[in-house]
Amino acid sequence: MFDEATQQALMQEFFSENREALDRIEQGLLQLEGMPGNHGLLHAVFRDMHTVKGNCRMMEFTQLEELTHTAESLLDQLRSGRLRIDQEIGSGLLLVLDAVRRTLLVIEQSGTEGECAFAPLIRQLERLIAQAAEEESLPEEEDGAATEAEGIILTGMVAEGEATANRLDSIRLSIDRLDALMNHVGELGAGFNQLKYALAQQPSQVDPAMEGLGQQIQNLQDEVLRYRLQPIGRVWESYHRLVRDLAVERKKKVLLELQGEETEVDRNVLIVVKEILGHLLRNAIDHGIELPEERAAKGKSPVGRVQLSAWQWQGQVYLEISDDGRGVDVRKVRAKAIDKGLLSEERAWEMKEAELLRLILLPGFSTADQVSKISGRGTGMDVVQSSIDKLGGTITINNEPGSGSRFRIRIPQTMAIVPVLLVRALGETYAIPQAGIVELVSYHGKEVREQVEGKMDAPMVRVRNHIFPIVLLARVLEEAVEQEMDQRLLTQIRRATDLHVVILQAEEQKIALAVEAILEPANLVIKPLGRLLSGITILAGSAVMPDGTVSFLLNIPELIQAWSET
Amino acid sequence: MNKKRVLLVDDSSLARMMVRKIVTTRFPDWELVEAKDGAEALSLAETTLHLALLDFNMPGMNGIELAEILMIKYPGVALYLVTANIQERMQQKADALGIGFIKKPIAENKLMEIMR
Repeated sequence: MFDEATQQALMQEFFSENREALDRIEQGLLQLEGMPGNHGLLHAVFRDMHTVKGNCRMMEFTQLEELTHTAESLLDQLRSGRLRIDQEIGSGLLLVLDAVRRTLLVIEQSGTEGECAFAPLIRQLERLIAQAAEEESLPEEEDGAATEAEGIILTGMVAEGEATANRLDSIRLSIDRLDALMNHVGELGAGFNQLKYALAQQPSQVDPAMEGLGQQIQNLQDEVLRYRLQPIGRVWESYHRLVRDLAVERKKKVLLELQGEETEVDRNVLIVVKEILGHLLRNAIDHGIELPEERAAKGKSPVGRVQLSAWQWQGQVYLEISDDGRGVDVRKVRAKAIDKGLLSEERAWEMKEAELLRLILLPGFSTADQVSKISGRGTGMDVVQSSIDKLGGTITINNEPGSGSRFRIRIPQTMAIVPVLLVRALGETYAIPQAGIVELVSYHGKEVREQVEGKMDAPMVRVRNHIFPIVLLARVLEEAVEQEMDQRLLTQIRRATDLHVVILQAEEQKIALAVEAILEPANLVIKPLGRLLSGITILAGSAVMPDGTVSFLLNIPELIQAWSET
Repeated sequence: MNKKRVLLVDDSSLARMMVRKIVTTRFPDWELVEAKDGAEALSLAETTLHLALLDFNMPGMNGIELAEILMIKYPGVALYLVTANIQERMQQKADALGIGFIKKPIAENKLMEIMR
């Protein structure tokens, strides 16, 4: 009926409209389980299913049409009040969404539905519809009363339908933004022409032309970077479903709390982060949160809480997942490590708890007594660890046996352009994120002796009315800090002719980082560290300098932590 | 020559796209106006309308409710409900109002019949 181009355009629309509708239906169903009395939502879900069905019919995908038609009929029973949504109905409808999504992928690849085998699912839906006839005498429902669903209560963000249409490997760019990009490129062209003209005709104009071009490149860079950053909430949306399904399967009650959905992360990072957090989330529910009876017996609320938070700090993104479950049993970890031959018994008993906890990040390590269908597939925490390594990040584990565990991940904003201050230490150039810098101070000659003093033998510097501990960057880098050297260090610092310090702050702690020279501010494109260096936590990334050498970006929070631990 | 004007109201963008393709390729003497729901359809500035093709299930008002208003706004307009499955109750109401039916998906020859 249509030419090929038209047919292709129709199919594109078919995929994108259906996927958007399916995402909205999913969000709607999950919310409905928590508030079955919400008629507006039920109608919206019905209409979206109706649209999907209509679209399938239009494009002549008859098996999909039959499945979505049956789902629509079931929704119609809910809409008319003859049935009330419960976990079984919710699960059935969610299965429909999965099946439709799968089939859309098949169509996308092969052009046809193939053999769908929807029959069992359709029979299941029909059985549910048949209940409506039996329960014709269902009591009047109390309007708007939010009833607790069987397995799970959902809170947190409720996504706008449009926002849920996200496929991570592609982005939708509004025409406005595309025009803005085009504008920047136009300006670049004009800047280039000016420079060319200046070089040929007006040497005095070369500098301003260069400066103008530099600014234009900067503007373009900023613009493109903004498009790459996406709020992390986008990938968190799918977790509601994950939590719900897993909680139902494991017969647990789980409350998922989200914080910091607006935290922006580079797209590349986002895809990895989705996997990592998804895995930790499954672990928390599967292994951390106890069964409701067990929780009640311990005097806890029967509903377990899993909290997911994200925030940004000095060009780093922090992701934290904590639960109020049973925590990691360190004794089990120790026993298992010995059992698996990862450690000698002697070594295992010497190890601090924090070290033992890190063992769960090793390949093939799992403390769950039984491997469950969803979270335990043998591959596990080691994948989390290696993914974080690849991003140049770190993971720390906090554990309180009996009351929960907390995983904190720090990852650099890959590809991000970070404003930094360049300094020199050990003859090399290092970059300090501007965001962590409070002020810069240099003392010369006798000022050095006046301002530097010892407190408990530790060198301190007085800057106006405040006293800050001095941390020698060179020392930290050499990892040669020995406490008994402090007295000598103090003498050494006081004898120096110059003292250049960068006052840094991370959380509540302020230090004076002493460097050999304070160079200049710069904007650097930061790349993650290679595998070899990714274990060095005080380095957050690397950047290629204008002269072609490589400089490292310092990770201030880690640096301060490393210093305070010595 | 004055073009005739057809209004298409459907919340499915795929459905609208399909009809748009048919109208623009087969009926060049018709002008197509689109809306995604009743509210949008009623906000259109068009003063004359010869034909309206209305989806039944839409956010806000349904196709029949919209048809009742269009009848008053555009006297003489030919109204058709475009729908996949027709319930008897709906059929009776539409018959009483003089609204025609087109089975969804819209077939080209059915449009030929109407738009000639």
